[in-house]
This record gives sequence, C-alpha cells and structure tokens, in this order.
Amino acid sequence: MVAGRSIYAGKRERAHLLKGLLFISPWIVGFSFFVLYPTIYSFVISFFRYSGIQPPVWLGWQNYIRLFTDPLVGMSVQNTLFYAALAVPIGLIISILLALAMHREVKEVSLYRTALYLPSIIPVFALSFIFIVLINPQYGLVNSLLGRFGVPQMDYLSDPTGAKVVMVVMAQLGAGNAALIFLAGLNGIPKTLYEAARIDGSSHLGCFLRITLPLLSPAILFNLITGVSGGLQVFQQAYIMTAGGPANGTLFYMYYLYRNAFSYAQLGYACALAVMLFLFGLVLALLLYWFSQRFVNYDAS
Amino acid sequence: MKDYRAFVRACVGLLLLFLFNTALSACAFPFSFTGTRDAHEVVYWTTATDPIGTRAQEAVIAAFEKQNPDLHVRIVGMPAQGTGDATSLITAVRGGSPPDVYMIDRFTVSQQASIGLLKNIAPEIAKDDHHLARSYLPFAWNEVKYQGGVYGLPFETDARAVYYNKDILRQSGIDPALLDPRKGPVTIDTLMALAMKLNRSDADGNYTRLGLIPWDGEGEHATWALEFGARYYNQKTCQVTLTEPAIMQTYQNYARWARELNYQRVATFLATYLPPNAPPSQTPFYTGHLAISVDGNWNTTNLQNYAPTMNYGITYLPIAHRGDKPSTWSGGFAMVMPAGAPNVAGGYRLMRFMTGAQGQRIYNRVTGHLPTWASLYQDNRLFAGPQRFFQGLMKYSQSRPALPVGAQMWDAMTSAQQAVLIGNKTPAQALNEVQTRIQPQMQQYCPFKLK
Repeated sequence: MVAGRSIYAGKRERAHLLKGLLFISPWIVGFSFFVLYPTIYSFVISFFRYSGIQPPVWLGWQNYIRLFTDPLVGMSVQNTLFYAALAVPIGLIISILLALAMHREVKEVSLYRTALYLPSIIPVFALSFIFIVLINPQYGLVNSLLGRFGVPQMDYLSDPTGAKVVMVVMAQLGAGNAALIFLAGLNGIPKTLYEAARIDGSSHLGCFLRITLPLLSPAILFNLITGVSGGLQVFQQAYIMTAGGPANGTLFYMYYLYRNAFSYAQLGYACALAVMLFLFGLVLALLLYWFSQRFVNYDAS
Repeated sequence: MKDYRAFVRACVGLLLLFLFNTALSACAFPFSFTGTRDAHEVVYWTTATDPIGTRAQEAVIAAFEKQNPDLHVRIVGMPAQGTGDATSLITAVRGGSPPDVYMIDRFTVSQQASIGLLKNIAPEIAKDDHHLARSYLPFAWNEVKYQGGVYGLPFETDARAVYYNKDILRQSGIDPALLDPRKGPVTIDTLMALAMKLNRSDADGNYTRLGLIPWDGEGEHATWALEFGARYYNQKTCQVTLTEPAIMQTYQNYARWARELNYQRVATFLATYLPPNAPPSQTPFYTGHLAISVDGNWNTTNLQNYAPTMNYGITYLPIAHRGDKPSTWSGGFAMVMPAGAPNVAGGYRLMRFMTGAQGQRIYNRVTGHLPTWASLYQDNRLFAGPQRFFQGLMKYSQSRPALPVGAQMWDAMTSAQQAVLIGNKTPAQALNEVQTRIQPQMQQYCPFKLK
C-alpha cells in the first residue's frame, strides 16, 4: 500500500515537474542560448588568441598573465572603482530620499511619484547628450549657476577626474529605479510600529533610524548588489561623452574590454578580462552578502 | 529519492537540449542568415557618411551603374567609432553576411588584413591588370599591401597645411603676407609668437579668441612627429620606436605649448566654440574665434560650404628650423573586400571603378579631397582655386607606417598626448608607457616588413 502510494505520488510529482519545466522552457532556452553558452564560450576563449575570424591559437594562461601586467587594466580598474565607490553609495542615499518623498501620505502623491521617477526612463544614451550641453562652460546651466558663486568656467570633461565626477552625478538621475524598490519596502513596514514608537516619544529621525532603515535593509542589500554590479559595468557614458579620455581618465574596465574585443580584435584577451570581472563581481557580491547577514533584517512582519 | 531521480533526468534532458542548441548554432555559423542575395547587387559599406562625402559617393556610383547596367549598388552607411573600429565588419563577416566592398581608413588595412577580415584581391588584380600598382601613388599602394598580399585599392588621400584668417591678422596689425606660401614655410617659433598676439580674453579670463591651438584639429601627434622625422618602426629589429627623438620632441613641444596657453583655458574655449557633436559648420575657425588652424585639404570644401565669405590663406606647416624642407603627411581611405564577400566579381568591378581615374575624378571634385590615381595630378581642372596649393604640396608628403598594431598605437599615442597636455605625465613617462605597451603587441607579427 505504502509503496504503491509512493509510486503514484512520484509519478504525479514527475508530471508536475515536467509541466513546470515546460512552462519555464522559453526562459531555459533563452538562458542557455544567451547566457550559459556565451559564458562557457567566453571562459574557453580566454585561453586562446582569437581575432573572431582566424582559428584560435592556444595560449594557456598568457592572457591572464598579461592582464596583471597591463598598465591600462590597472588604470581602468582604478577608474571603475572610483566611479563605483562614489556612484553606488550616493545613489543609495538619493534613492532612499526619493522613496521617502514618494511615500508621503498626501493627495497628490501619484504626481510626485511620476515626476520623481520620470528622469529614470531617459536612456543613458540620451542623458549623455543632455549632460554635454548642461555642463558646457559657456552656455551650460551648471557652469552658469556655479559662476554666480564665483566658480570659474571650466570644461569638466577635459579633466580626468572632472569627467568621472560628471558621470557619477549623471548616474543619480537613474535613482528612480532603486527608489521604486525602496518604496515597495516602505509600503511593507507596518504602521503600528511607528504609532508605538511615537507613543514612546520617538522623534522622526529616531523612527527613521530605528524602524525604517533596519526594515528596509533587505531592499538596501538588493540595491547595493545590483548597484555595485552596474557600477562595475559602467560603459555607455564614457563611450558617448569622452571616448575613454581625457588621458584615459574615463577608460572604464568595460570600455577597455570593448576596445580590446572590437577595435583591436583581441577577443581572447577581452574574454579573459570578462572572466576576471565576473569573478571579481561574484566575490564582491558574496562578501557583501556575508557581511550583510549581520545587518539585514528579514522580519518586517 | 524518486523525485530526485526525476529531477536529475530532467536536468540531463535539458543539458542535451542545450548541447543540441549549441550544435545547431555552431552549424549555423557558415551560412548566411540573410538568405540568398541578388547576383546583380553589389553591397557597398562606407565610413564616410557626412553630407558632402555621401553626395560624392552617390555621384560616383551613379556613373558606375550607368557603365555597368548589369549591376546595381546598395549603399549602406557604417560609420566607425575611432581608428580601427571593426565591430560591424567582424560581426558581418562572422555572421556570414559581409558587404562586397567597404570603404575604410587605409591606415587600418594591414591591421584588418592581419586578423583575416579582408580578402586578398591579388588574384583579381592579376586577371585585370598586372601593372595596376604603378597607377597609384607609391605610399598609398604600400598601405594596402600586407605580408605579400594586396588587401584593397587606394581611394582618396589628403594633406595637411596651415589655414589663416587674413582679416583677423590685419585687424591685429599683422601683415598676412608674412605667411604667404610663396615665401616658403615659417618656423614653428615664428608662427607661435605671431599666434600668441592674436589671443583675446573676456573679463573672467576666458579666451574669446585664440591665435592657434597647435594640438587641435590636424595638429595631432603624427603631424609634428612625421615632420621631425619620426620612423615609428625599425624593421631590422622588429621594434616600434615610440620614444625616438622626433616623437619625444613633439611631446615636449606639447608640454610647453600647454603651459604657455594654459590647457584648461583652451579646453574651455574648445568646449564653448567646438562642443562635442557640433554640426560641421560650427568650428571656431569658421566662426572667427580661431585665427590660424592646422587642417587638411578637405577644409577648402568645408570653407566653401560653411564660411563662403571668409578671406583666408593656406600655407605650409611650420618647420622646426629655418631652411628645412616643407613637410606634410597623407592618410586617406581604401576600398576593401571583406572575407567571404558574396559578389567577388561585381565587388571588384565597383572597387576598380571607384578607385580608378574616372571614379576618383568625380569623387575628389565634389569633396575637395586628393586623388591617389597618379595621372590625375596632371589634370589641372581637379585643382581649382585653393586646391592648387595641395597639388604642389604632395611631393613633400609622407605617410604613417601601416603596422598591424596601428589602431592600438594610435589610441595609445593620443592618450599620451592628452596626458602630457593636461600635465599628468612628462613626455618621457608617457612615451615610455606607450612603448612598453605596444611592443609586446607588435612582437606577435615579427618578422614584419613594411615594404
């Protein structure tokens, strides 16, 4: 009896499993075609010299050795870390502030939400062109505002650090996406907690620090990891606004990878760069995850 | 346990499906995804997509189609991002749908040939005309050769010179006759001293007018380095020579000029009067904010279109020492046939026509570019007005050595130029870095002969 029921249950389970797999099969096919296969292929190609056209030549670890001695890799890592170290934390703060603003209990809140989210739907491509005009030394808004406070006109894009800072500022216009996630997190925090705190005499700031922040921590972790991952892959802005210049000041890691692959046709080396970025990103995400376990509170209910 | 087995089986099934996918996609590579092409169609890609260049190419192709009624040409604009960018071509060749003819920067032909992107057209040339090579300017022909093969036909070429706005000079009390080319070239120091007198600033200290920005426009590193005698490459030792005295001198000049003119202030000036992505009509020279400019011969056509009333003169690039010979350098484009081009015969006929006497005559008359078809230099009708100066200048012209690492070298030298101008690095530091970066790349192609 028991055995028969188990077989029956097993069959049913298996049928369910197959049905389930069938339902997600478009994803499985897409994933294997466009993610898994290229990933494995990149890893294999990273051990070859490969132009994309001629047969690959086996190089062993040479691409990886070159990667650690190439001064431009060092430079691009520095640029990328500079960007990520500024853009990610600033982005978190700004998106939490945006989420708080979107969360106000006023009648016209939907208007605020739309207005605050709107800049995030502008593609980076278009935003780059807008920023080129905004920071123009002669007729740009930024320089004319700064000029009122006596700051001399300057072409920020012609300075290696200035150009990176411009791109950090530009990234903040995309904070709306992260803000939506924070907003969802804020909606999940029970109001009774605030009411109780208020009765106990807690201030606004106290409520924010002791209730809002700890209960938002899963969303913060999520936005931190996606932010870091996005920050490490910064590319478009540099491609459009500065072409990696001046003096390699905005030669970000992804941009250098792109150049190796498509300007210099060194796909093997570019793949080795990609594999290193993947490993670095993975280690960083694991570290963040491990480190966050002490701070993240999944107990909103 | 059973659930586990079912799961494993499902995974194995998926893996098989995945491998099947892979096999399918691998099999698919040799075939074109675009279906069969019309045998009478020649697909022509071009990197020259500006209005004047487009008009000129359309005129040449109209003439070609008239003479070859069995063929029709489809023009596809495919601008390149930076020197040597072959993204679109790599993708097209790899995907099995390359064009039949592509117009690319001639300097990058050997690099694209070295990675197998281009077809060696020596067999087609042998069937057509054994002496074809002699019809082109020798330097241009050298640029399309790579390791014994021929990977393209030279198209237009160019040359660099100094343009000066006579009215601005006169307003500032300088006689424009000082720069008259009949008197020969002036020295760099003379020209810089003269240019400094033309600078004007507003109350905030921002430049409103500059005499000359010696690193802007065509004043990039190659212009000065070639003038000082740079070789870039020693084929005996198979070494790039990027720290040689001629190049070092160029970068030392940059460091000095950047200090004298204040690089940041010049950058602000350029961002104001030559913002990124500005239309071609908006340059500080055309709008009267820059008095002297190092530019190419094509500038005469632009001036005609965008500043037709300007009273300007053209003279030689300044020389290092009094008595030196005039100097300039030439780049330009080539027609190449990508590997796997479907219509080899039709494509070759188009390349041959466009780069031949007739095609180059039509093209260069519209664009104001210079021909590489040697006999066209006898045709005075092609060198009307300001172009006449360049007809005589070509005998002094040099070209950059076409190395398979050309694009990387160019990028690295340009970054070094920016670093020196900003003041981040000394000329020696910057050039040593470029040398240590490029030589290992060059090593892969050794032994490599330029001619």
